[in-house]
Amino acid sequence: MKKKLGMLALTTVFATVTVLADCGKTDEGKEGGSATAPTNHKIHVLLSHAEAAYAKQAKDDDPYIKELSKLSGYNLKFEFLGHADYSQQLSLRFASGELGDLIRTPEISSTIHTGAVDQGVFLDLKPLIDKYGPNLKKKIPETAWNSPRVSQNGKIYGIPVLSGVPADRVVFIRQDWLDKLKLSTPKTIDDYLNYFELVKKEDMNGNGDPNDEYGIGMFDGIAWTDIFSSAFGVTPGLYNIRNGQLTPDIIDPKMKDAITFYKKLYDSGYVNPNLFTRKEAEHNAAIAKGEIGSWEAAVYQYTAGYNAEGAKKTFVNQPTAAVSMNAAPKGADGKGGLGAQGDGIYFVWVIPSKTKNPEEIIKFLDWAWSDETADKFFAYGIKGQNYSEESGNVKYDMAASVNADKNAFQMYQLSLNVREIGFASPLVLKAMPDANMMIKGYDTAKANLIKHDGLYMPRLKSLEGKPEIAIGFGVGNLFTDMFAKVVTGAEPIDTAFDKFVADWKKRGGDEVIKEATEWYNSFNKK
Amino acid sequence: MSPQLRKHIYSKDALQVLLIALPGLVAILLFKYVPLAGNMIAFKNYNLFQGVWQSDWVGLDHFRRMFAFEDFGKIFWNSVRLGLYSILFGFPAPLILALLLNEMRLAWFKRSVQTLLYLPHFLSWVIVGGIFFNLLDVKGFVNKLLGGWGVAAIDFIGNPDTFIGTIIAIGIWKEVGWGMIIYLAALAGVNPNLYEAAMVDGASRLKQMLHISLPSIMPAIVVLLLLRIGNLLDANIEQMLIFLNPLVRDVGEVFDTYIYRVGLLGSQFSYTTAIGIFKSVIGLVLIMGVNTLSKRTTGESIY
Repeated sequence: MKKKLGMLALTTVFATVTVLADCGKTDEGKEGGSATAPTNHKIHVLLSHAEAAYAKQAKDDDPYIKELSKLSGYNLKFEFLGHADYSQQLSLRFASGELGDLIRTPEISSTIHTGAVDQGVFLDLKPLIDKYGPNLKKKIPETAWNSPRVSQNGKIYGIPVLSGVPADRVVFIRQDWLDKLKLSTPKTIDDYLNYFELVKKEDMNGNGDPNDEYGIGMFDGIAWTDIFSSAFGVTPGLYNIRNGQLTPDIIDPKMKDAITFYKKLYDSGYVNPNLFTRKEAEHNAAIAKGEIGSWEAAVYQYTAGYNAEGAKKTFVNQPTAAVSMNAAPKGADGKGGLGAQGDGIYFVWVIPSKTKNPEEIIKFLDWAWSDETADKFFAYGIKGQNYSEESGNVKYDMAASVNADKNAFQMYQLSLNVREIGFASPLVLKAMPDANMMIKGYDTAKANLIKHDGLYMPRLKSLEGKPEIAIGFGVGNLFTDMFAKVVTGAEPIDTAFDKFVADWKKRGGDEVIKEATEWYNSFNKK
Repeated sequence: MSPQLRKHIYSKDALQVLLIALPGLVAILLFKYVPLAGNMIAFKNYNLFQGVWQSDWVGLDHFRRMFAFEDFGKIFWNSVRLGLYSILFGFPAPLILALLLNEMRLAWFKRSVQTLLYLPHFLSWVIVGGIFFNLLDVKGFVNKLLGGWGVAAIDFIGNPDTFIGTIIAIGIWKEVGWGMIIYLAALAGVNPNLYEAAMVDGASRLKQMLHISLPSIMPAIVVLLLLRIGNLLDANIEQMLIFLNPLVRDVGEVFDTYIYRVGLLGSQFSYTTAIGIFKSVIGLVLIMGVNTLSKRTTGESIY
C-alpha cells in the first residue's frame, strides 16, 4: 500500500508544477485552400458567438452558413468561440497558432495578442484593399479606417466591422408599471427616485410580495448597468481634460456624488442588494420574473424579447408586461448619458500573415459589402425560408417562428454579418413591425451618447499589465472595489475615495495621466 | 549483465509489464517534464510571436516586479490563509465521512449514500456557483430560514468575514464524496480478522474505529496530507473565479486569480510564470519539510 501510494504521490508532485506550455510554432497551411481555384476558396472565420442563441449551437453545416457560402462562392467556415471568455480563448489560439483566416479582435493592439503588429503577425492590408476592395474603401467611413484600432503608422492591419448605428444604449423601463402608477416617463434623477420608491412600496408584479421588486436592476458587470453616474458629469471608463491634463473621470471629485447616489439606491432598497455578485443570466431571469423596474439595455434587444410580441414570451405570468425605451436620467445641470461616443467600430477583422491568398478574403468582404444578394441575406436571411419575394417586394415576418425561434434572425443579421451589426440596417428597419419604435429607440440612444476627450485614444502602455489601475468598472480594479465597498457601506465615501485616488496615482496613475495627456496634445495638434 | 537478469528482462511477463507502463511514462515525460523547460520564460520577456527561444533574457526582473508589487503581501497571506483553512477543514472531512460510512451495516444504503455524496463532484463549478448564489443570497433560502429564527440576513458571499468560510464549506460539499473514495478503498483492505479479534476482546465500534480502522489507513492519510500541503498555495481557480467579487477581493484575491487576470487576460506570461515558479518553490520546500518531519515522527513518507 505504502509503496503504491508513494508512486502516486511522486507523479502528483510533478503534476503540481504547472507551467505555461510554449506553443510558439505555427502549423502552416492547415486550412489553406488550393491557390489556383478562386471559386470555393476556403475561408475559416474565427469569432465569438456574442451570446446570440442561434450561433451558440450552430454546426459547421448550418443552413445559413451554407447559404452564405453559396451566395458568395466561397467555402466558408465560421467557428464561434464563447463570448464571455473570448479574449482568453483567442489568446490561447494565438499561442498555439491554430488561427483562422479571418479573426475577430477588439483592436489590432489588443492585449489578447500583445506585440502582434510589431512582430508582423497581421498582414498589412492596405495594398490589398487598394487593389481588391474598392467597395470596402467606399462603404466604410474614413473615421473608422483612421482609428488606432485599425491602423498604425499609416498601415492598415484590420478591417472595421461597424456598429451599424452610432449608439444603441437606452434605459428599458416597465411601461406597464409606469401606467399602473400613473407616472409619466421619468426624465430626471428625481423622477427616477420617485418611480423607484413607488416600485418598492407596491406589489408591482402582483405575486403578493411587495418586497421582491427593485426600481433598477444591476449585475456584476457594473459598466453595463450604470445609468446614473453620467448625470453627475462623470463616467467610469472615460477621460476628460481637467486643468490641461487628460485624466480619467474616476478620480474626479464629482465621482463622489455619483457613488453617494448609488449608496442611496442601495440603502433605500431601490437596487437589488446582490448587484456585486449577481451574474448577467440571473439578472435577465429577474427581469423576466418581474422583479426589475428599469435596466440599461441595447436598442436591438427590444426586438429580441421586449417588443409587444416578445414581452408576452419573456415575462412570466405577466400578460400586460410592456417595455419602453428611454433616455438616460438627467442630473441637476441637465447632464446625463449612456454609452461613450465611439469610433463606430464594433470589432476588427485581422488576417494573419500566414494566410494563403489573402486577396480572396478581401474579395469576399468586398462582395459582402457591395452585392445586392448579400444585402438581402444580412437583412432577411434565406430566400424561401426566412422571407419570400413577390414581384420584387420582400415579404419578411420577423415574428415567424423560422426567424424568431432561438432568435434565428440574429444569425444572419449579426453572427454571420461580416460587415456590421445588422439589426438596424435600412432594409431591416423597413421590414419591421416596430419600425417607428426602433427608429425612435436609436434616436434616443444617439441623444444618450456621452461626449468625451479620449475619443480615438489608443491603448495606453502605462496601463499594460496593471489591471488594478484600469479606469472603468473592470473586474478586480481599485476603483470597482472602492465603489462596491462604499455602496454597501463597508467604508465611508470620503476617506475611501481619497485613499483610492492617492493609491491609484501612486501605483501608476500619474504615468497614465501623463501618457494620455501627451497623446491628446499630439493628436489634437494635427 | 548476468544471464538471470537478461532472462528476466526478456521474459514475456516483464516485457508485457513494461509495455503497459510505456504509455503512462511517455505521457508523464511529455506533459510533465518537457513543459518544465517552458519555465525559462520567467527569465525572459516572452512574446507570443517571438516564441520561447527568440524572446529576450531579462534575468530576475519579473521576480523583482513581483516582490515590489504593492499587493504581493496581501495576496501571499490570502493564499496561505485559504490554503491552511482548506487543509484544516477540507482534509479531515472525507476521512471522517469515510470512517462513518464504513460503519454502515446496510450495504445498499451505504452504497446509495456514497453515490449521492460524490455526485456533486461531477457538477461544473458554474452550476454549483449558480446553486449557491441563489441559496446564500441575502434574500435566498438560507437567509429566509435564518430569518425565521430571528437572525439578521447574512451576505455570505459578499462579506469578507464570511467569504472564506463559505468558499471552504462549498468546496467541501462538492468534493468530500470524491475524496472519500480513496479512504473507503483503503478501509476495504483492512484485514477483517483484526475486527473479529477486537470484538472477541470486547472492543466497542468506536474503539474498533480508533484502534483498527484509523491506524490501518494511516499511511494513506499521511501521504495524502503531505501532498495536500505541497499544494498549499493552490486555490481552486474555477471556484475562486466564480465566487470572487469586489466586496471580498481584499481577502479572496489569491495567486491563482491574480495570475489569471494579469497573465491570461493581460498577456503578461513571463511575469505570471515567475509567480507560478515562486508558488512551486514554496510548495516544494513545504513538501520536503513536512515529509522529513513525518518520516522522523510517524515513519511514513512519500519518498
